[in-house]
Amino acid sequence: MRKMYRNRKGISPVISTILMIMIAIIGMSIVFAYVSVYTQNYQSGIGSSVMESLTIEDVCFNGTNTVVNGVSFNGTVAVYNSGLIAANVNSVYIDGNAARINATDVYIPVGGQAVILVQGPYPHWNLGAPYNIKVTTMRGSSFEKTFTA
Amino acid sequence: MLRIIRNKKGTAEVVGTIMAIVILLYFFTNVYLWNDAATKQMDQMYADKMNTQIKVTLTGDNSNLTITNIGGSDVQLAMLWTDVGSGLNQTHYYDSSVSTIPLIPAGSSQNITLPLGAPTVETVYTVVTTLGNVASCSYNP
Repeated sequence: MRKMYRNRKGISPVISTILMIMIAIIGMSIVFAYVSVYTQNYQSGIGSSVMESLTIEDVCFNGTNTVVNGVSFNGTVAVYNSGLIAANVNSVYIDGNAARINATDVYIPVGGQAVILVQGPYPHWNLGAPYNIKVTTMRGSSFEKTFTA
Repeated sequence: MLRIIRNKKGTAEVVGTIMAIVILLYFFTNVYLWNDAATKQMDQMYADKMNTQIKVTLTGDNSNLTITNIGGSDVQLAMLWTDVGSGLNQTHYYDSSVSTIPLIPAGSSQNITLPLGAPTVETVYTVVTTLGNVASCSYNP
C-alpha cells in the first residue's frame, strides 16, 4: 500500500487526463449555454414574428392637430392584435414615409387594441385621397392597408 | 484490427466532436420543431380567418347592425367602430363590448343595437373579428 502511494510514476498522465476532462466539460458547458441563450432569444425574438398578426381597423385623418406634451399629431391609427403573441409596434409609415408616433414602441397584447397618435409626413390630408398605412413591429413584421381621407 | 482498438490516441477528440455534434443537433432540431409548430399554428389561424368572413348591414330603421357570418366557421366579434361625419371632421368611436356577444355560427346572423342610436349624418360602421376580418357598411342620408 505504502509502495503504491510512494510510486510517482503515471501521475502526470492522470493529471493531464483530469485536466482534459475538465476543459472538455467547461468548453461544452460554454457551447451549451451559448446555443441555449441564442435559441431562447431567437424563439422570443425574430423567430416569433411568424406568429404576429395585426389588423389596422381604423384610421382617423384629422383636419386639426391634437397636441400631446407639446407635440402635434394629425391622425390616429387603431391596431388590433389578431395574432398568437403580443406585439410591439415601433413604426408607422404613411405612403412609405415614416410618421411620428406618440411612443417609441406600443405594446399590444393578444386580442388587445392600441390607438396610436400619428403625425403624417404631409402638413395636411387631402380629402378623398388614398393613403397607404403600414405598421411595423419590433420583430420586423409589417401590416398594411389603404384608407381614404 | 486489435491494434486499432487498443490505440487510445485521439479518443478525446472523437468523444468531444460527438458531444459537440449532439449538442448542436439537439438545438437545431429544437429550433426547427418549434418553428414548424409555430408556422402550422399560424397557417391554421389564416385558414380560420379565410373561413370566417362577415357581412355587415344596417337594419331595423337603421337602429340595428346585422352581422352575418358568411364563412364556414364560428365568428367571434372583437370591435365595433363608428365613424360619424364626413371628410376630415369625422369623429371615431370604438366599442369593445361586442366581444361579449356569443359566437356567431356559420351562416347565422346577429343583430346588435347601435350604441349611438340610428345615424342622422353620414356614418361608417366597421366590425372587426378576433381573427382580424373587417367588414364595413355606411349610412348616407
